[in-house]
Amino acid sequence: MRSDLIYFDNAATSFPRSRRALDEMRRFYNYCGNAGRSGHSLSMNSGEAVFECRRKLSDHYGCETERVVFVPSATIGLNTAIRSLVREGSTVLISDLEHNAVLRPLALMHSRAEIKLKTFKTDRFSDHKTLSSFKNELCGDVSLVVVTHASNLFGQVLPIELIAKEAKAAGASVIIDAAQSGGYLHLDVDDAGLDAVVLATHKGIGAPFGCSVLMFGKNASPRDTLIAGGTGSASLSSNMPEGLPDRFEAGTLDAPAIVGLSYAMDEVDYNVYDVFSLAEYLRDELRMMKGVELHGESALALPVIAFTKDGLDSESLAAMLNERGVCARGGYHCAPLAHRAIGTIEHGAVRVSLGKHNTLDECRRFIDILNAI
Amino acid sequence: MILVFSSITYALKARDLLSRASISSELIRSPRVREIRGCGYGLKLQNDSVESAKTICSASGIRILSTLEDVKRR
Repeated sequence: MRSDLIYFDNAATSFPRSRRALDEMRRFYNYCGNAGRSGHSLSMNSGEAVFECRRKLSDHYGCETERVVFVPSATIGLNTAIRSLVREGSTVLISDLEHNAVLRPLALMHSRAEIKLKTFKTDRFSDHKTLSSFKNELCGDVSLVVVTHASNLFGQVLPIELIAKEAKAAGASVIIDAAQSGGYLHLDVDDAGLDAVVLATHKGIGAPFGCSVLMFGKNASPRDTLIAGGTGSASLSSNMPEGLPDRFEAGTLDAPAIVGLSYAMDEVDYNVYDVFSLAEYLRDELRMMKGVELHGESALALPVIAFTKDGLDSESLAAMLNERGVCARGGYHCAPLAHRAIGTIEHGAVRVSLGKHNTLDECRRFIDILNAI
Repeated sequence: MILVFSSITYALKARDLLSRASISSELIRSPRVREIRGCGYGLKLQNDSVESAKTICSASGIRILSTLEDVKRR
């Protein structure tokens, strides 16, 4: 790996990860059994470690311990949340910025005539307009609302508390995709009245892969599971257990990764002004750069920036940046709705997404590199 | 005595709550009981703490599936 690498793809996954999280995860492999299965010390040890992480997340995000469910990825978490909360035959309402992890399972259900699917328009600079648009689409038949906390393409933060309030008043369940915002913006699941929140912990939180989180709110009544299998409990029953979290945790948990997550959570710091300031610096520089167009600029955004240059194909531009030591993502970012919303559906865009390890020097070098292309 | 719960999560949540009330308990795999249809986890605690423990768990919405005598291992 080159020593002058500039990693600007934190919206895909954070780099570098929490050093402590990785060390503890590796160390844990030395004495880890299968959590929640046996009565011997190694299994109990794993069970205790998994519980400790669950408790930490519960305290941090304001939901009951047993309502914290570990999932292999945020995509599995979102699919699970959707399947467990959707009412067949009803309408599901999503924003025009949703990632394919939300759009695809719902599009599949829509194609099978299991649900009707609608989107509402988001406004880049007015939460009031976004909320109005949402309320216009929120008819009596909407049983489920799924909204991203922040766009994975250009970082716009949506007013999810206001959206959730309207949705709940209309009798709909609310799922929040917090894959991008985890580690940057705090959420209180029960205070905000949310039914489910999904985190991709390998992104802003800096945890290992394989231990993402689905949290159910206290008033949520999740029903169908996506996957059924062994849980280490009620083995004589051929049904999944009724209670949480076991109902949604079939199969072996990745206990070492969960231990890593536990330590990564200790390092979450919402006073991350540096990374937001760096993103503002980059936006200012990109605005002034000849041939560069910023897309999706919004009033409040994570440090995620989408741009195009001189009509260049976005994948080609990302490849040129890669040759010069910059890790960024071109193309469509699993977000066709968002690209359509900001007018980049034809050629895609390059996305640079900063993390807490990025520096001003890296931003300056990136600007010089892009200028020279 | 052993208090039996439906999952390790509930057992450990109960243990934390009891600990805050100065009731010590030990997490174990539960002996087989009809209520949990095979496997579960339990908390082993002193007999004289059982009633208090039951009250604390009930107040926190933690369901105790069964209460068993602790069978001494040979």
